[in-house]
Amino acid sequence: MSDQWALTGPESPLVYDPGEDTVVCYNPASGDTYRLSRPAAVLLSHLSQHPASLESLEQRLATSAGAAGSEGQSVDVSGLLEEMEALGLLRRVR
Amino acid sequence: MAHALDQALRIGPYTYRIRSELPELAAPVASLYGAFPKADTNSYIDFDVSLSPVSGRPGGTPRAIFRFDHRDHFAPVERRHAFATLEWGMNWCVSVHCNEYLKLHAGVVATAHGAIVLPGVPGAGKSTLCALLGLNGWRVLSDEHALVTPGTLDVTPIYRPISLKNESITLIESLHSGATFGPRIVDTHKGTVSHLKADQHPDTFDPRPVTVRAIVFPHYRADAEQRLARRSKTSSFLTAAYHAFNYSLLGTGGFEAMQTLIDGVPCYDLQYHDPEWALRAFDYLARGEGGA
Repeated sequence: MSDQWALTGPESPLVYDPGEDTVVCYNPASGDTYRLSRPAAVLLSHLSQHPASLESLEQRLATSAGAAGSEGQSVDVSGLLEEMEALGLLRRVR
Repeated sequence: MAHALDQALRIGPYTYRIRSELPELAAPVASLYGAFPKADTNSYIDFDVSLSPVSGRPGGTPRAIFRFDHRDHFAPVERRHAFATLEWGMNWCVSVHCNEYLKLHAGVVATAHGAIVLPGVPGAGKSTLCALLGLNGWRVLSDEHALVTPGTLDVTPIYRPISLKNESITLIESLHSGATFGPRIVDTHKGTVSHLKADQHPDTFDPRPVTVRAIVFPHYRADAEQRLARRSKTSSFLTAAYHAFNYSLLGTGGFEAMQTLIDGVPCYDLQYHDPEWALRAFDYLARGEGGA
């Protein structure tokens, strides 16, 4: 069974989305503020509901990209998750 | 020792009591703070500050020390820097207290249409812009602190004399020969400093909040193209947070207050070097032609 991904803290990060290419994310667990890409924000939003697998998150991002009309842009979801893990926003759960 | 200076002043939402045995402080305080609303020295005081001489070795450089609530918070300074130290100390009082507001390190100016917040690092030109605008009919709410009520677009005025440094002093003097300055204080850690009286506007001492209409990030660049350009909200949020005194301290409340502010107004980058050009750019913003 593949790793699941989850938020690090009990509180969901706060996101300010002004409708641009990036969003602002505040992590209550650390007090840190980040600029995130839109795909990262989509993943964060999905994980705010429940932990999810890499495959599930790839599917979620593909659905989101389709809705936004940006199917042609490939995203390295695994790399994105690892970056968010390094920022302390996400953790792996088994 | 008798105080050459002992008065309580209403400065924005706060009351300062300013005391000093240094006779050389009386004249600049009278000149720059003479029009401020007075308070009873026995009334509630938010910030009780003083500048006192400190004894040193015989023949040594005369020194003075800033105290807040009768306590030392900083090392003594050369006495010739006493007035600048008083001003910096009064800034410090607001910077490290007053967390009922989201506090940005920013100038704030206003017209009847509302306020423009100018966040910036030292040297960005925010005090110079405040001086230019204040001497050209704008109201100066502060050249140092934007006090934003969380959850609103309200900024509370906290006017004090504008702290100009180095070439900015000469520039403003050359443009406004009748402007009133405090003493020119040389060799400080910021170079030469002088404080400009900029309380000409009839509403200068009105304590009521003013609605923010725009945020402008100033950049003084002597040799660069001048431009006023819209700036992304995400970038503006992060830069304004960087320029905030207490964004992190307020935690989730800081994030939410910043979101309300940034989302509610247009944000701009202003790159300038010509004062007349900068004034026209602000007039353009004051007319609301920058969009919402």
